[in-house]
Amino acid sequence: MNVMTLNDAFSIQRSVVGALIMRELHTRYGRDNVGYLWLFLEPALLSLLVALIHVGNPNSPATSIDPVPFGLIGYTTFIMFRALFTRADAVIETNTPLLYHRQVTIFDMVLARGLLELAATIVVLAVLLGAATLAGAAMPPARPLALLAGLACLWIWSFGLSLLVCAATNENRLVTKFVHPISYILLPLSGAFYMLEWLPQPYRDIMSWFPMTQMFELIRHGQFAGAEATYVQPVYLVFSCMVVLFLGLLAVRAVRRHVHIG
Amino acid sequence: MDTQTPPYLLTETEAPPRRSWARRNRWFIALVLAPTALVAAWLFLFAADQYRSETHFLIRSSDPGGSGIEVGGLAQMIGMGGVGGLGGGSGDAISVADYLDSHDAVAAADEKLDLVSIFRAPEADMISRLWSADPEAETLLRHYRRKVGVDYDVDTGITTLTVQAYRPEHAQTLAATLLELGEERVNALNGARETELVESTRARLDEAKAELAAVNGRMAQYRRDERQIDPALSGKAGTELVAALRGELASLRAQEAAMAGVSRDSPQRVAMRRRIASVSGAVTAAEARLSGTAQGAVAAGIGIFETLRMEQELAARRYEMTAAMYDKARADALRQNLFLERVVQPNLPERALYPERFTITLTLLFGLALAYGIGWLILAGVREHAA
Repeated sequence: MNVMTLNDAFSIQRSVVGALIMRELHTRYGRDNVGYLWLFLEPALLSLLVALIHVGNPNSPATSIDPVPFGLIGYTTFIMFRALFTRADAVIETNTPLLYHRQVTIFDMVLARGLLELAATIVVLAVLLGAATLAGAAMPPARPLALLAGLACLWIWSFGLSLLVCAATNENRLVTKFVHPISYILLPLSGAFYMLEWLPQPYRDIMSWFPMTQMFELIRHGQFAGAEATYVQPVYLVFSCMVVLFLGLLAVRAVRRHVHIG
Repeated sequence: MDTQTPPYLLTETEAPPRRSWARRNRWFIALVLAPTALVAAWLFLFAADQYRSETHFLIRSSDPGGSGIEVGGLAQMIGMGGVGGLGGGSGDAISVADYLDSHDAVAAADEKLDLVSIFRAPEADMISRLWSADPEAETLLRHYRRKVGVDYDVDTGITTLTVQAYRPEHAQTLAATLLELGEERVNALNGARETELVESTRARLDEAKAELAAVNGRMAQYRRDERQIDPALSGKAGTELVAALRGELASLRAQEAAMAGVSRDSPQRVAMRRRIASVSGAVTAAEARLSGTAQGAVAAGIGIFETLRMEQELAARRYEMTAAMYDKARADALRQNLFLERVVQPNLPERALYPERFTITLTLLFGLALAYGIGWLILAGVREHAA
């Protein structure tokens, strides 16, 4: 009997999350199809600019690491993180009416956003990388599994952080003020647009302890044959992702009652 | 994980017959404690001790100016944004480290030591030892990489080589053998550099030497054929001779003219005429030898001789230059020779530090507990939908 109810609950949650994703899609991109186009155009434009900067750079990285996919991957994956991290503060606020339904939880709302961003990132990355490959500016991923593993780590990390931010802003609105500055600081710190190899030594080792740099190293290790995963420590990486996810889940669970009571 | 059980559950279980701790936490026990206990039991009861021998070495050249240890800071700061900032010496150090981590080194070490017997020592446990008694090269290489660590430090230039084995003396011997292999590789690199630097200049030196010999040979041939050592010198001697003879001829003619009063047939005038005739014959012959077309004529030979002498001079100068270049190349090669300097000799380990039993057990415990916590939280979230 216990198993039955768990199954039922799971299917309810699935349909709730599915409905939330559809709602999110409509509110964000509108009903006309051109809205979806921005999903591709924005990163395409920006990665093109990043790529152009790298083309002109005489110190451009080793031959097998092409600037176009380098910028593309760094940008599309970083905006997945940024979208999850910076928009998490508005989740409860914009969706408060939905919480009157008992089946809808905060976790569902954050998860719906997270899944939507993940799907969008994968599709955009695949389309743009495919286009770059056809145009001759990139090679297909050298180690697709490593690329996906890196993306998975980054998603879990971002998702856990967005749970944390969501819970924290619900407790104290002041947190919102810090979310954006932090996301800007993380842009250079995350290693999305440079390789640890390029850093001078004392900083290279220090930076490699920041999990995000390892995630981006892993993603690039998946894309470029010439990028070695020297600084990726799998145990450490998995641990940091799990800790963040655990803390995020715990925080949302703690906050749940406050929202209900309020 | 009592702390994760919601408080209302605890108060509920107060009234009914209290279920045992094990029953209430059976999932935690099954998913976290049991696997950890299993792995810990294996590690502490069955896993074989592994001894680690460590050695440090440095690759440096006898050239005091560049490379070696000094590459660190500034060169790398400048190299920032580009591809590394590696000087020549560290490149060589990396090549040795790279070699020690390769199938090449495995094959060489296997030839010297029989790696399989080290990796399958009788003391070894079933899981960590080399599984196959007759492994393919790739399998052996994978196992070798698990037991042998090569770590190159860009800042200090020191390469750290660690070897794990089931017997202390195995670890030490393998580390020492690998060091020797590294030294051999350094010598091979030196040899290659020397041939690369010296061979090209040596080829040019040989060429210059052959050319000089050829020119000298042609000069000797010329001298033999023309029967003179230096046409310029013989030309000068010939000219002087002609001038002297002409002077004598002129004075003889003047004397004859002074004898106008004497009878034409007087013996004095006859003798004088004969002398004039013979001297003028000698003048003609000497002039012919100087400028004529006959064999051994100086004027014809002097052009060929001058060309030959110029060629000889050029060849000699070229030979001198290439000889100097060759000497310099050899000196350079010698100066850039690399040495493997042992900083720390391979030690004979006394205590088995591996496998790291506590670290592995604790990592596993925390990892599983975290995963369990995440799973529990997600499941609890799912259950909320059924409420």
